[in-house]
Amino acid sequence: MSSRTAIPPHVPPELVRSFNFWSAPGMKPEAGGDPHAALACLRDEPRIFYSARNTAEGYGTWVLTRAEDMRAVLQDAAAFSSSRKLFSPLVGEAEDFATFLVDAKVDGRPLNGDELIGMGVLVFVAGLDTVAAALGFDFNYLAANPGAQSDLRTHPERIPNAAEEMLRAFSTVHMVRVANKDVELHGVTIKAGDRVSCATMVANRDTNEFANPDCIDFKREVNRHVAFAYGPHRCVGSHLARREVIIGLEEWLRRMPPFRIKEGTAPVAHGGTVFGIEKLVLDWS
Amino acid sequence: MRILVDKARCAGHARCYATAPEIFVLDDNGYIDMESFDVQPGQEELARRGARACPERALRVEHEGGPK
Repeated sequence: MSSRTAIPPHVPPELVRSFNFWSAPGMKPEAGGDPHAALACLRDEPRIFYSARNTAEGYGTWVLTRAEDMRAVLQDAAAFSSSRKLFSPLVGEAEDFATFLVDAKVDGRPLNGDELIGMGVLVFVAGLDTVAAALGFDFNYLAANPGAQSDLRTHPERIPNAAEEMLRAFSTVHMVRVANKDVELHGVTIKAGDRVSCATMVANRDTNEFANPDCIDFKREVNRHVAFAYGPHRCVGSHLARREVIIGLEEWLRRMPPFRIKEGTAPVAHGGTVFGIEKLVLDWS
Repeated sequence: MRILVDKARCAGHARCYATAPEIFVLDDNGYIDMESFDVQPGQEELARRGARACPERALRVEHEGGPK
């Protein structure tokens, strides 16, 4: 066992779980799988527990199961940084994001080439698979629920609210933060350097936060979901993503006849860093 | 009825504005551009819905007298 995957000595053994976002039941790509629903198992777990090998790179993380705790962690960007500590006091007035990055100074120095490329990759990647994944889950839900599909066809004005509800129920991003200092949370010591999982899909099904969170309700009125995270590092593309999802649903429903999941096929969905659907066959013949 | 605004907590989700654009004013970057304010008579329900749309809990409803 490498040091990366070893469970640190400050983690109480009773708080270690085998759950992780890649291989726990429902997380692996499987025909007919529903990774969001599979997370309901976490409701029986403590508010915070430890999971070895729970990032794409194989690090262990503290897993938070309550939206309230994720809000506290994500809003405290001083104690919990994103892996990329690049947003800080800036110099220069930029008209566009690339100039903003090139002019940015962190701790008195400009970003180096790797950091600039890293930010560029992040911005493009963040918008690539997330919205595609969200629309995939939305089309999957509408294909499997003809009543909901027909509702939005008859009442396209309900699409923005429906899009919000599906962003809540099928959110795609599992965010990880790194503690900059020791932090006490519900009797647990998160040590500097520990990673913390703030999985939006867990927070958005939190029964303390949402009435009937497993029920998809296009008329849900109070919907303070966390599909785009909380705090100062809130998704910079959230407004664009919302437009893309709404326009995607509007245009698809306007142009395409009623669709369903093709007989003999089953969607393949998966967990991980970004939840997604890798196979979805629609039929409107 | 009064809306309490915690500007430091605003992260620019703009859900208050999406819900009640007549009531909530944002700056050019999409962050709340108001101090705490008294709600105009007749706009209570809309203001309440806008405040309850904030993912960060930067907006709260304060009731001043009267039934809640």
